[in-house]
This record gives sequence, structure tokens and C-alpha cells, in this order.
Amino acid sequence: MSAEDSAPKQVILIADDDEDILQLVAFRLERSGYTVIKARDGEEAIEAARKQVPDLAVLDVRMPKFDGFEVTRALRADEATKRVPVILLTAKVQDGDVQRGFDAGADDYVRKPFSPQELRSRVQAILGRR
Amino acid sequence: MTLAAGVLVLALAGVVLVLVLIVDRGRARARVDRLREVADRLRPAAIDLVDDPEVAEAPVLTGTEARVFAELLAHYSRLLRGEAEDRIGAYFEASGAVDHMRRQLRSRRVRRRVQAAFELGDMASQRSVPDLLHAMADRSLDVRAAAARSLGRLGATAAVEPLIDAAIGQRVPRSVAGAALLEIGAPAVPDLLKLLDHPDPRFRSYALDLVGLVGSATDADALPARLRDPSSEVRATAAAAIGRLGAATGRDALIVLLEDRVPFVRAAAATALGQIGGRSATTALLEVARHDVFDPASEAARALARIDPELVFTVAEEPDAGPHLREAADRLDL
Repeated sequence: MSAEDSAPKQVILIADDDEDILQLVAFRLERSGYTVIKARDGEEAIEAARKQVPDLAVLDVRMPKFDGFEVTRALRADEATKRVPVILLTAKVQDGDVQRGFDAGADDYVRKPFSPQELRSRVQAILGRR
Repeated sequence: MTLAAGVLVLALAGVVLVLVLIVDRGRARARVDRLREVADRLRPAAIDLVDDPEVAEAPVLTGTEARVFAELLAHYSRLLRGEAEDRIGAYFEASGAVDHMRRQLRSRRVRRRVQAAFELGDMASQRSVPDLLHAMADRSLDVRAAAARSLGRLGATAAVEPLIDAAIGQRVPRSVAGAALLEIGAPAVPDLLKLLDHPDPRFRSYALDLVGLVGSATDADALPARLRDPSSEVRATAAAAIGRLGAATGRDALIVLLEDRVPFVRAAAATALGQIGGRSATTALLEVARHDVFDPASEAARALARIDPELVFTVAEEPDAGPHLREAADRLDL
């Protein structure tokens, strides 16, 4: 077993109410060697992050209960999760979402429709900087 | 006796109807659950096909499973781009679904043509672009609108001029054509720039509007020339596009446009100068804010507040400031 295999895997929280996107992103990141926690709405995402602080969160902007901005603000307001990097998944034509996302404390954004490879590159870039 | 029998029959009929509705609802729910179960079971295979370059072949499916699998891939094609989208297109081409829908576009039944025009947009295959362009001339509005939507989904730059033409000619709802052009996005810009010299001012205006929405500052070089367009609508749209792109190269031409004979053009120029920023515009904007008619003066005061808030606070105190500069200063206070 290599040193890389025995190292603890980095944990990524993914929150999206679209089951197809949730499973695809989880699949892509798990195959890249990350441990993935899945949440299907904003409330679940906040609870999951409090239970196990992730190394990074990928949040859809449009979600039931709490949207991606509200989840980002909640993460930033909690001492345990305030440094968790956040990538927001935003709709293509909603430029205002990008600005609102950065205002809420997000670190990066990916516009839908998106390339799974591009999302993985963004994740690696952020985690590589830590 | 007859009345009692009638009441009994009605009561029985009511009970039967309720039972039928309950059974029907139960069946519908069971069908939805069954489809969801099939989707959950097939999703890993769909993800493999979409996201794993080593997966060359899709599972062989028939009937309901084949339909659910196609729906999953169609959903992914709306959400993903890049190689994932290419693989979805290759799947639908290899399965024969693209060619089947292309044939359906020539069906005599409108419903089939609409369905085909719509579904081709989610199959991510460029092979269907010529057929969809042809469908833009269909006699049915529903077919034309579905084709327009699909051409946008496919990012077909060849559809830029036909989409604008259809929107202006009201053969497709403007909102549908506009959404399709936005979906094509930045790759549409070269074709949009060619339309800036179109003889019809409506084309020039529509193209300018879209360049402002999907272009970048580097696309703005061709826009200042349109600030001298004979059509006031085009001049105003050009100003708005330059402002949205934040193209500083248009600043001097916009300052000149503050003297345009048409008030809404002067207002658009003032708004754009506020978006671009730069203090070289403040003298001209002050003049408009103090002395022009309502809309240009109001926009000029707002633009000044964005460019130089301190200046607005100062001039708002002066006796000849006028209502617009005072209002802009009040808004800054908020």
C-alpha cells in the first residue's frame, strides 16, 4: 500500500436537490480519491457540515429550505466551518448569482451547464492551495 | 320507492367513482415509483457513459429501460458540457435516436414534429442542426419554437441570423429566440458583429443588445461606430452595450453622444458612462444633469454618483444644482 493510499482522504460535501447531478458529481470526486458527503437540500448540508467538517463544499445555488448563499453564510458564521472553501454551482444566465455568491463568502463558482472535468480541476486547485 | 331507488343508484355510482379514482391514483403512483426505481438502477450506467472515457459502449436496453436511460442522458445533456456532452451526442447517434427524430421532423403530424424538434436539442448531436434550421420555417409555431430552443441548446452558431430573423419577423416568440441566442453565448459574437452592418436597423439593434450580453470588452471595438448610426434605437442600444461591457474605448464617443438630439439616446449614453467610469466624462455629465430634460438629467446624475460621489455631494449644495443632482446626493446618503 502506498503512502498516498494510507493517507486520510479529503472530505467534500456536495449539496444539490437534483439527484442526477448529485450522483454524477459524487461519482466523479469519489473516483478522484475524495470521500463525499451528499446533501439534498440546504438544511441537510448545514447539518452534515456541522457533524463532519468537510475540506471543501460544492453547493448548488438553487436548493430547497436554504439556498447555496444561505448555506455559505451559515458555514462562514460557524467557528468550526468558517474556513471551509465553497464552490457554488450557478445557473448560466444569472450573473447576479456570481456576485451574491462572493458576497456570501464563496471561494469560486462553476456555471451550469458545466464540465465534470472542470469542476474536478477547480476542486483540486482549491484543495491544493490549502 | 322510485325516489329511494334513484338515490341508491346515485350513491352506488358515487362509491364506484371514488373507488375507480383511488385505484387509478394508486396505479399512477406505482408507475412513478417503478420509473424512479428504474432510473436509480440505470443512473450508474448513465454516469459511466457520460463521465468515464474508458466506457465505450452503453448497455443494451429495450422498452421502458431504454426510454428511462435516454431521459437520464437527455437530462445530463442539459446540465453538462465538454466531453460529457460529446459522449451523450455519440450515444444518441449510435443508437439511431438522432436519425429517427430527424425523420420525425418531416412527419405530417404536428405533435410528432414538435416532439422531435424539442428532443433533438437534448441529444447533443450537431448532426441535427441542418434539420432544425429547416424546421425554423415550419408552418407550426410550436415546431419553430421547439427548433429555436434546440438550436440554442446545441450552441449552433449557424442559427444566429435565422434566430434573429425569426424573432424580428415574429415567427418565434422573442423570449424563445433570445433565450436560444443567450444559450449559444460568446461563440455567437462573431456572427452578431457581422450583423452590425445589416440594412435593417432592427437586426443591428438586436445584435448589439446580444453582444452587450454575451460579449466581452475585447468585442467592443466595433461598437462605437454604431453610436453614429442613423437609427436612434441603434445608437441607444450601442451605448447600452458599450456600458454593459465596460469598454473604456467607447468613452469619448459616448461623451459626444450626450449631445444627441434624441433624449433617450442621451440617457443611454449617460448610463453607459456611469458604468464605464472615468473622470473625463464628469464635466459633460454635470452639464446634462443640471440642464437637460428629465430622463437624461436623471441618468447623468446617477452616473456622476457612481464615478465621483464626493463631487455629487459638493455640487448638490450649489444653488443651480437642480433636482436630479440633489436626488443623487440623497441616494448616496442612504
